[in-house]
Amino acid sequence: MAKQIVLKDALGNKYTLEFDRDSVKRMIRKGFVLDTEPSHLLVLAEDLVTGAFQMHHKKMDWEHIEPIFMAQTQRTELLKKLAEMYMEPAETLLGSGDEDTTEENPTWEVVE
Amino acid sequence: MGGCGVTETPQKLLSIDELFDRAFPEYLAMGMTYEQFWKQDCSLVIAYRKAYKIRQEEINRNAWLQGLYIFKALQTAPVTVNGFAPKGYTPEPYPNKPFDFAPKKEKTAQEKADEEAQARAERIKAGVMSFMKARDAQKHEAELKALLEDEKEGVSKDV
Repeated sequence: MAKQIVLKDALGNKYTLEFDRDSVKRMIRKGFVLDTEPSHLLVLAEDLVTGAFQMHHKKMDWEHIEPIFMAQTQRTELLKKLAEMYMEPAETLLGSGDEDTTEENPTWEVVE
Repeated sequence: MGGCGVTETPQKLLSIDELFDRAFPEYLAMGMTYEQFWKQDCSLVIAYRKAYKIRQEEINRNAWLQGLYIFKALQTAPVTVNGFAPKGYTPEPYPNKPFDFAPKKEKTAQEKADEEAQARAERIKAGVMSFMKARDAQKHEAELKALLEDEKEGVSKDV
């Protein structure tokens, strides 16, 4: 099951945020390029959040979405999560999820 | 690279939408619909890939099994068909039922007792049947004898 985020507006209405391949493709065709740098994410917020609304709430535009987004707490975290979710349709095609998760030792490690 | 005489064209990186477009026909071949690929849960492709793998393994297993049956058929072929068989070769009969794939489990004491009881019942039934058959045959023979004697007596009286 793909990740979803449920947002609530001031009136308690719920909105489901999710990306499908169609919405990601539309965003790319409009010139969207994901940059996960937090300061850049804020610039991309409008396109990223609007894109996340497209799968379940097609008719919502930024005019409607902005007040809902601005009413949220921890918006940077929300954008980070959305950036992760944006990559999911591509990641699932690249074999993610097929690996043997019982394997204890991954073939890569993080070096700092 | 420089100086070695081989010109390498730089590998073009796929953009995400190109990746989608390239993968789409493959998933159509796996049985996914347009809606499922583009507009539904994006993780559905993982399940489709796993299902495809299972299907491929099944096809492979069936092909292997078919090969095994053909091999068995050749093994059991009579000498006239199997030209390489040595003289006096008697082929074993072709299996009269499909190979059993179910793992053999240990029989419980109850199952063993049931089987023995059933075998005993079958033996008794067979015994009774053969006894009845023998008795019927004796009776039939006696009747036939009596009939023949009656006929003989009738003939002698006529004479």
